Amino acid sequence: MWKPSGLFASQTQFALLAGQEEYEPQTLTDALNCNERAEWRAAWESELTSLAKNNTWVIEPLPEDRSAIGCWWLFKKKEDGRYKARLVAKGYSQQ
Amino acid sequence: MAKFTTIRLLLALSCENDWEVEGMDVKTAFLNGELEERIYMEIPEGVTVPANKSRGGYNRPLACRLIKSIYGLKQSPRTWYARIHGFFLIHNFTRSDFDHSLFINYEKQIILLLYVDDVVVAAPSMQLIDWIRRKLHHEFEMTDLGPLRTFLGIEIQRNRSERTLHLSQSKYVQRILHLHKMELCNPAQTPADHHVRLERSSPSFEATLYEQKRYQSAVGSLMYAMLGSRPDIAYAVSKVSQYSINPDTTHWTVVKRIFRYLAGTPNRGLCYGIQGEGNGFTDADWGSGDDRKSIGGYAFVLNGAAIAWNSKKQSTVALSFTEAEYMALSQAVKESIWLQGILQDVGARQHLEEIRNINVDNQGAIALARNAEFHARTKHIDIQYHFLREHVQNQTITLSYCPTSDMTADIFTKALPHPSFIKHSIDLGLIDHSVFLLQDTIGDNHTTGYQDNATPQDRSEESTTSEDTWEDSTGEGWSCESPALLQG
Repeated sequence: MWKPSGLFASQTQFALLAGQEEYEPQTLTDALNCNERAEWRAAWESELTSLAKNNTWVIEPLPEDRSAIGCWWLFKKKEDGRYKARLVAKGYSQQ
Repeated sequence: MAKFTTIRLLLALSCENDWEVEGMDVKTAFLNGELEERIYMEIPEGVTVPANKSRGGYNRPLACRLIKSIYGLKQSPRTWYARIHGFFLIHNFTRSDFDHSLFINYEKQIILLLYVDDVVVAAPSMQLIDWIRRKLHHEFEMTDLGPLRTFLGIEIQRNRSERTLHLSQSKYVQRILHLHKMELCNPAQTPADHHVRLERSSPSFEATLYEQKRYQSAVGSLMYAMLGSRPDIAYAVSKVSQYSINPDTTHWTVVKRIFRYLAGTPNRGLCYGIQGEGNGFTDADWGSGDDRKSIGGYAFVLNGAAIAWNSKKQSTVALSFTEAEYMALSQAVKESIWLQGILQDVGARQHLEEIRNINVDNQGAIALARNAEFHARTKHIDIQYHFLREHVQNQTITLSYCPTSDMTADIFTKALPHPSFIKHSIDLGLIDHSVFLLQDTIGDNHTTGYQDNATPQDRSEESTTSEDTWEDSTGEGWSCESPALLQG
């Protein structure tokens, strides 16, 4: 049973405030349809621009003897409140 | 990978010498590394394929042939590291052999620490930092974070005029308290109850897989706090982690006790620059484990607070107290040699003497380390522990005797009652953030009455009393401090 003690009362309130979990979309579709879609879209577009600017890849036909590894988008809220999108390859499917 | 010890060492020195410490991060760091292999990846969701490349004309599906390494590939971290290492070499940085994430430019006196895409730069002046900042911006896409405020979840606060620096993980602690539903718990004064003796679960008891995972994740989250800025919970965490395989309710109670201690002291952390000395400490508790193995621990203090610590159950059974201490000492010697290497690399030779000196509270272990004479009681001690004799002979390590009551490393070998727990915590440099903030107001008042030439000892006494008053303070004290803590 929790007894509110004078010494730590304010600490408990702090814990409650800090404890509110923030929503992070799991897929691109979620991100572009949730309440914060404007922020997520901006983050996603900035990541796309950065990928394009760095010449990360060239699009070409996949050779017959090769297979393509998968990838997905990750959406994260940084501790300082920034919205981050990141493209991640499924490296575990590499041989 | 940067080690916590290296960043703490760097911050302790920066605080002492009043260096500028700036944080930067590399945007999409891995995209800077060029791939050597041919790797194909499916076209990501949302990427539009140019019309001229659309499928018509090919019978094969389209894919992205990667040129740069992207997140998730197995070789990405390596290619990125090779790239930035090359950049540092060009700009006359030497990589430390003791920590490969540490780079030093001796000519310009810049120290740089790299953690994947986070860069910490320390230098005596802002001009020097701006020099490397320009070079980095020229080469990579960077974000400037200004004076370093957080690193790997550790919050850093400095008081430049007092030359003090406080490290804490209050946000992290609040998060794990919430995650493990402990935010409404009843706070405890120490992380471990010295009356409780833990034993293995009875053979008939078998924790479910779910319970096991939950226990391990709770212990793991405590361990991260311990590694970052909380040496005070090191013993308790190492104790509970020994029972991860089959935890029952008695073990859960002990884990909860650690959470309860953290709930009462979320803002406690290491404060550098208040008590000026450096030193090494090692201690052991003979045969205290349930399998009769001993617990050994050590701590190294630099610029008034711990930079390195460890609490560990020894891997072999010791036959005597002396032997347990001797084994703990050999662990401490290894750490000391490593720290000396780093200190030498960052050009802080003035501290070598302090880190070289290890305090032991067992005369037998000191005698054993000092002379290699044959002794019927020690002939079985494994050769690996005798490497320390060599270091004592070469004077790369010096040993001092220290009475048990002053043995700071005692906190790593047993659950201590509250008074001695607090005493050793303070000796490790642990101070509540509210007390750290208080220092500022003290400083303000003192601009009128306080002598500027206060010795470090004076200030350490001051902080000790503040800590004591906190222990007895009333609710008002906390609530008026809290808003400030929230912002910090």
